[in-house]
Amino acid sequence: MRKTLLTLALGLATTAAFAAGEHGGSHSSMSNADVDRTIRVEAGDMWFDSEKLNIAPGETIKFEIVNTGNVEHEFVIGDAEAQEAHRKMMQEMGGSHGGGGGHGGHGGHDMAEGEHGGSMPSVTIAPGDTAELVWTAPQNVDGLQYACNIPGHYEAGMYGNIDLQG
Amino acid sequence: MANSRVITHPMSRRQILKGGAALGLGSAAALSLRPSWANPWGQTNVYSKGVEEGPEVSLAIRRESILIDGKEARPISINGTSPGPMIRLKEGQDAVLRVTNLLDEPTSIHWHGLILPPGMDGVPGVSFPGIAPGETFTYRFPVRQNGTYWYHSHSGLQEQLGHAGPLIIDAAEREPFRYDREHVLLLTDWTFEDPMAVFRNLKTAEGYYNFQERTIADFFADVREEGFAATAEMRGMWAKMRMSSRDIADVTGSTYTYLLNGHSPEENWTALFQAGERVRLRVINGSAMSYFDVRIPGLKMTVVAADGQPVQPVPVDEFRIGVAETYDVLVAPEDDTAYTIFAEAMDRSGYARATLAPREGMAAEIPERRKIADRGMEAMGAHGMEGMDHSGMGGSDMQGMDHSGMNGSDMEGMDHSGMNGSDMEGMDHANMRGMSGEQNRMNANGMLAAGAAQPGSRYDQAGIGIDPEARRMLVYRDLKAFTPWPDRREPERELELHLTGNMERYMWSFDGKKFSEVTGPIHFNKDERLRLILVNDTMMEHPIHLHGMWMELENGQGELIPRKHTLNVKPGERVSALITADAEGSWAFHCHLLYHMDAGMFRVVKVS
Repeated sequence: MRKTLLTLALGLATTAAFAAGEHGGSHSSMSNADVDRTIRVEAGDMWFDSEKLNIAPGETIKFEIVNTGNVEHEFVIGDAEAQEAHRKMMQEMGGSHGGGGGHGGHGGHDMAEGEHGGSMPSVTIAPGDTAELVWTAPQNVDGLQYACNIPGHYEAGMYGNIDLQG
Repeated sequence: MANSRVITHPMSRRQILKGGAALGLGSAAALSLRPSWANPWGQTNVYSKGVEEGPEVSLAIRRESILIDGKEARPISINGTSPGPMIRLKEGQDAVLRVTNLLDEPTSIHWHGLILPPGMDGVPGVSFPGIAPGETFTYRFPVRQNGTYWYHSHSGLQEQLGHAGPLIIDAAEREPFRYDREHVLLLTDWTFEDPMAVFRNLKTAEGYYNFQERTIADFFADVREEGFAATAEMRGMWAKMRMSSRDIADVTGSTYTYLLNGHSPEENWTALFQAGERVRLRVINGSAMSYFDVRIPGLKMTVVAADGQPVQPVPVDEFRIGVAETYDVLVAPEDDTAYTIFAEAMDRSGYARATLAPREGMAAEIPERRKIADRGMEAMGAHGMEGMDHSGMGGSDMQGMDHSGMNGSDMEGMDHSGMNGSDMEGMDHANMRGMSGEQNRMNANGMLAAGAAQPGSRYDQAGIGIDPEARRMLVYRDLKAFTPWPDRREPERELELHLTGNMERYMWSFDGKKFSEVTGPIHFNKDERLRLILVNDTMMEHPIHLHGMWMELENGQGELIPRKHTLNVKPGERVSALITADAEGSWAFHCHLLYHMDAGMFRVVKVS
C-alpha cells in the first residue's frame, strides 16, 4: 500500500511514508535524481524560517531541515486535522506532570504514524543536525501544513502552510 | 561592570524640583482615568498612545481622586493613571527613568525582576534613601534582559494604593515563539479601606477578613464523613495551631475588589483579537496579597515565559500566579466569539475578569467559582491517610505523632504546613526524605547535585484548592529553560532559611526573627555559587523575592532549570534555588505579600 520514499538524516535512518490513498498523490519510488527542487528550511526555537511554501502538485521536493535551535524538533507534513490528531497523541504520551518538557523519551517520528488514518511524512531533527525529507506534493489537495508537534511547539508558532495551487 | 559610573554616586543624579516645575512632567495621559496601555487592540507593530517608551521616561507620582469600580477612590497615580502606565524599554538601551514625587510622603519605584546596579534598585534604606516629597530621582541603568516585568513602590504600603504598573522590555533578538498581537494583563487587588487600617485589622483580629470560617454545620458534616474522633482531633489541632483551616489568604474578597488592568469584573475590560491570530498575553500579578488561578475557558494557553525568562512551551488549561510573578502565554482563538479571561482568587473569595473578544461589547459566560478550599483536608492528608496513627495526637502537643504506618506513595498529598514548628520538634522527619521520588544524586561537595529537586518539594503540585484531574494545570516542574544558564558550577555551600510566622499576632519572619530583630544582613560571598534552601514552616504560601540576582529554581530539570525572581513556596514545602552572587552590594530579600513584608518577613542580603 505504501509507497516509500527515501530520507536520510545525519545518523538517523528515517523513513518517511506517505499514504497515497488519503491524499490522492501519484508517485513512485524515486531517488535524488527524481527530485525537482530542494528546499532548505531552518527550524529554530520555536519557528520555521518560512511560514509559507508554494509547491506545485506533483512536484517532488527534497527538504533539508536544519535545526538551529537548542531543543529537538520535528518536521511533519499533513493536513490540519491530521496534524492536530498527531499533536494530541504526542501530548497524551508525554504530557503528564512528571514528564518535564514532556517529550524526552519518545521518538517524535513514530507518533506521526497510525491512529488518525494513514501516516504523515515526518522527520525528527536533533539540535545542530540537518535532516532530509523527500516528498511529492499530492494532486487535488487544497492545502497542507508543515509543523513541529512536540508538545507546545506548534502552539508557540512552529508551523507553516504549503500552498498547493502551483 | 560597564556601568560602574552609575553605581558610584547615585545621589548625585538627583535633581531637586520645585513642585510647580514637576507638574509639567504629567503627560497627556494625566487626564485619562484608565491606564493607557490597556488599549483594547493591544500592541501590534506600533505602540498605543500613552505608553511611556524608553529609553527616557518621566513619571510623576500623585495621590488623586479616580473612580475605581465606579466608586470614588483615592489611589496613588503615576502620570495620571492607577495602576500606572506601561513602561516599554528595549534590550540594550540605557534607561533613564525620572521619578518625581508629588505625594506628601517619601516614595520609590522598584523595577521588579531587573538586574541592575544596587543604587538603582529603588528600595528605601537598602538601595537609596527614597524620594522625598517634591524631589525627582533619576534612575539610570543598562537594560540587559528582555521580557515581562513590572514596577511598584517599595515604600510602606503604597503598593496597595495602586502604585504599580507593567514594565515590558522588547527583546534584541528573536524570541522563541511568534505571535500576531499582544496584551498586558495586570492583576491587582484594590481596597477602599486605608491600607494602614487593613494592617491594623490583621494585627488585632486574626481572621478579620475570613468570613469563610467553619461552622457547626460543617462540624457535623465532617463527623458524618470522618467520624467523631477524627473530626474532633482535627479541630483540636487547628485550634492549637491558632489557625483556621480556611485561612487560605489573610486579606480576602471581603475587602478586595480584584482588578484586571484597573477594571473590576463588572466593568469587563476587553482585549480585542481577530480570529485566527495568535495572541501573546503578558500576565503580571501586581497584587499586594492575592494569588490567582488564571484560565480562559475554551482556549488552551501555552506558557512561553515565566518571570520574563523564556521557557520551553507548555500547553495548559490553567495556571496559578503567585504575587509578583509573571507568565507569558499564547492563545490562538480560531472562532469569532468572546472568551472570558477568568482570574479566580486562590481563596475563592472573588475574581478578576476580562473578555477576549473580536469586538467591543461582547461577553462570554463567567465560570462558576470553586468552593473554598480547606487546608484541613490538605494539611491532614485526607486522601490516603488511612494508615495514619492518630492515637498519639490527643496530648498536649504533637510529639507523639507516628508516621510509621504511612505508605510512602500515599504521602504525596500530605502537607505538613499545618503543623506549627514550635509544637512539632519531636516529629521525626527522617523517613520523609526522598519521598519526592527524585534521584538524590550527590555532588563532590556532598550536596545534592545542581538542579535536583529537594526532598520535601512539591513541584508537581499546583497547590491548595486545585483538582489536578479537572484540567491541565501548570506546575513548577513544567518550567524548563532552553539552554543552561551561564554559571554551571555546583553549589559551594547551602544556606537554609525557614519561613516562619505567628498568624494570631500577625508576625511574619525568616528563621523566627522579624526584620526589626535581626542584627545584620545575610551575607553572600562575592561570586560564590550557593544554594538557597527555603523551608516554609507556616500554613500559607509565600512568594519569596530576591532583588539583584536571579534564583535558578531547582525543580528537577537538571541543567535546564528555570530562573525566576520570585519563588512561590507552598505550606510545608522545602524548595531550593541556585544563586550566583555576582551583584556586589545590598539587596532586599522578602516575602512579596505586602503585609507579611511589612510585618517583618524581610531581610537584607549583602554581597561582598
